[in-house]
Amino acid sequence: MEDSIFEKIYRETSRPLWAYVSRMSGSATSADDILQETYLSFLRSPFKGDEVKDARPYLYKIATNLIYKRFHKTRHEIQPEIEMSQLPGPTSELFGQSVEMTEIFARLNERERSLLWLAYVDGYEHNEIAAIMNINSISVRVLLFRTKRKLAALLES
Amino acid sequence: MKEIDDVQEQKISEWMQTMAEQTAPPRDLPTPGLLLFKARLIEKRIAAARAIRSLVWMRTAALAVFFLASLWLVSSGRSPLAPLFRDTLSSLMSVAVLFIFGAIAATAICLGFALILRRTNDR
Repeated sequence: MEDSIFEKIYRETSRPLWAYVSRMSGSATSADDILQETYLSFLRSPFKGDEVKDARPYLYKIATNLIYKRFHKTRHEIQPEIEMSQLPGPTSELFGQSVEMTEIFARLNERERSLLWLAYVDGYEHNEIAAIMNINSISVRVLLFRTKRKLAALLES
Repeated sequence: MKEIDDVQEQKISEWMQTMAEQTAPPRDLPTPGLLLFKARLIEKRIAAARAIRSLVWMRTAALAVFFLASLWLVSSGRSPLAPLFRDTLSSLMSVAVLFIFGAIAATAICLGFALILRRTNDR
């Protein structure tokens, strides 16, 4: 891959990818490491495209695999609350009361967090989410529905 | 089964967007140049490791061929060097136990060092 193409892809994807990784891993430090590992794997991968839109889901797939591998390797479930204090802790008035977003998000498991983030923040379609998360697209629809219901219940409570 | 209505859907969407907007890297991310440099360094290390591995295999194969050829020469007795090989082999056989013991000791030391290094790296 040419340096200029990589630089273009990196500049357009690194910040949103960092945000995704940090919310999934629950740690700013881990997010830095995983982000670097993601791009290093990407550079060694057989990916030949030169468009950001093609590289983006590929990068998310690598990052998602690295996040799962990193935490499942040590047989620990991702515990976002551990280092979530390092991240900004925004509050929301959307549901009529002040809600600590970080705490609520941390109550979802890593798959639920990935689903919500990919669908609502990055705007991926079900089939794209399925490819990124290595699950089938029908499961994405069902899982996303359940996750939304869980989040709605958490927010209302 | 409790359904998600449009209002809830909208609220979840806004909630996620708000959180995303407020999740930014706390410091500058590495430059693409640094990552390209690291990637090239890793590539070089992998290539070097691959080259060393093939050299080790070649050396082992050469030693095996040499050993087998020597045995053949000694056993067939066709070579003018046969007596020399026979003498050398018999000399070696007399200290074979020492060689074997030395090889085992060297392997054990190497494994011990590798284990210590691995534990140090893990920490």
